[in-house]
Amino acid sequence: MSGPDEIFEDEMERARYAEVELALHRALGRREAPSGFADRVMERADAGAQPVARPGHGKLLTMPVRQWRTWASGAIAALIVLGVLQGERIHLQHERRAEAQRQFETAERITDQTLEQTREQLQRAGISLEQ
Amino acid sequence: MRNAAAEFRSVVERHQRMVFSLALRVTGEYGAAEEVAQDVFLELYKSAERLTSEDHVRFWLRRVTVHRATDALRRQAHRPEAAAEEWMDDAPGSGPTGDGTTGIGPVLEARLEELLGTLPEAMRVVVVLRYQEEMLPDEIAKLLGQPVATVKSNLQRGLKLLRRKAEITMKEYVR
Repeated sequence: MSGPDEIFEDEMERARYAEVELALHRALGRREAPSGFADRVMERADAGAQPVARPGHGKLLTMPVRQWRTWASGAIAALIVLGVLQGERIHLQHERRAEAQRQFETAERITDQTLEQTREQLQRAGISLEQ
Repeated sequence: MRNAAAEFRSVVERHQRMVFSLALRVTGEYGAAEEVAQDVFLELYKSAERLTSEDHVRFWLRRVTVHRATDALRRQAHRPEAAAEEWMDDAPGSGPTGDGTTGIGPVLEARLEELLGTLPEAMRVVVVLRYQEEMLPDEIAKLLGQPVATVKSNLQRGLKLLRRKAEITMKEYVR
């Protein structure tokens, strides 16, 4: 009878390979890691492999140089874009103010002209507004 | 931050033998094995995956080590798979002792690890997980994401191949 953990279903096969299996168990014991292995892993971990979930306040200070350059380039590019957009906004505001002023002056001129024409018509009709 | 580093170092020290030995037996090369083993621990360090128990850590380390080691093995120039089938003509009871056993003694035991390096990748991985890590076939199947029948088939073929090679080696030895 074989169980689910057996490699060979047949009992004769199991007996046949029992010796090889025993030899493999003895031959394949775990080996020691090379001397200083843990130190080398920790050095690499400290050098650049920061874990994903960490508090954010120290991240810029501990970021490796290559990553910092990339970050800085992106930040500078973003600032330039923002600066351009801000400049355009200010210019637009100025334009709008100037336009509003021009329209007001035009309206004032039209109103003055209209009032003058009305006064003349009234005078011709013999009506005086001055008292 | 210091506590996290100390904790990680503790994990490395606890599991470095397992990870390194797995990598060594799969790749067959000492230098490649250390590189694989370091990369496995660094991947653990960077991983956001929450490993909640010792069993979970062990499972994760074994699985990632096997994946990285087989990748490294595939990148190597020499691969034994093409020659494997030539060895598979199994003659029952033809061992050197005449009684069906191979008479594997200490000399050949020392060579078994070397012979392991001549197995094709699929057989090599399951043999190492079974006899180094003492994993059961269904545990190996779960780790590798394979059917249990596939794992057992590769174990059977791997053992047959090793036995055959050990017989040939013994015949050469006694000559």
